[in-house]
Amino acid sequence: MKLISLISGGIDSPVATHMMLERKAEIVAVHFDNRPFTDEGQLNKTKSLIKELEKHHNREIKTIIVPHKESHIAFGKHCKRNLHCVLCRRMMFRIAEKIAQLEKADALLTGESLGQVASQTLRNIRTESQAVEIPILRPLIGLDKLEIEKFAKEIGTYEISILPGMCCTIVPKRPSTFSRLSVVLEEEKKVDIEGLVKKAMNGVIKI
Amino acid sequence: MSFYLLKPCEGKSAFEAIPKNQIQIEIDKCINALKANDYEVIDAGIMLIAIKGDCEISVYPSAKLLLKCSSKEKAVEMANELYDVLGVSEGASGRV
Repeated sequence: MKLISLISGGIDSPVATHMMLERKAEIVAVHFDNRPFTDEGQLNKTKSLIKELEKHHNREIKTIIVPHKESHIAFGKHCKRNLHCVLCRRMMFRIAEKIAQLEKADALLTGESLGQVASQTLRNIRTESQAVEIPILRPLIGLDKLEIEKFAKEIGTYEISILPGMCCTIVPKRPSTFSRLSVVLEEEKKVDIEGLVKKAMNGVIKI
Repeated sequence: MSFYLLKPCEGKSAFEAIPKNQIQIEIDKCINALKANDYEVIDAGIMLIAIKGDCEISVYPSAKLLLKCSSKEKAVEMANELYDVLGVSEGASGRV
């Protein structure tokens, strides 16, 4: 089983990746580089987290960095403010699906856990999943934050994840927690989705 | 202009400037003023990012600034300068 793991500098996605590495899945790590809406810290933490996972599992993990600035700008300029996170995640899934096709991977893997942040309500997860056809694995879906932190401490990623790093600065004050696909599709008509995917794919860096 | 300078939390590598009085700024009208004062500007519609030297400043319609700067002193200096450029300055008194 080959999986495309969407990995950030946070606590959850390294734990999700660890769980599937334990199941002997082959992992390709994909990090969406949100600079300048985040800072260098997120990218550096991600690289350190992947190294830690490689050390823990004694395996190399192929890593791909995807530039994600242009999508944020397009959604910020043209789309409903409260849907920004849903639109952003749908875009990440689309790009990850393209990478999965190139890598001949079977599924995407995320560190989502139900209700942990606004974008992770059941309704939003459904709307976001509908952007792609590829299956999305979410091994942490039923865990709470403390349980996830416990795993992170056990595998040595927790201390890296809590290092300074700026969260996304374009996140809306009141993000939608109950997105409707029909509304999201209307918003996506206002931007060149295919063009943004192509641009991101042209800018990927493999490390 | 009077503002509070906050360090959002230990884990964050930035400072936040929040005006003491409620202010609204029109993001699209800030762009030219910033460019004329040697800022590189990334216009994201609902907010913008102004870059000068090694400082990156997110500017929001509420006049809140998020400053990625090396020190507290630099953040105060840049917040004062930026409010001045945007024409919302009433005399600086940044406090942490």
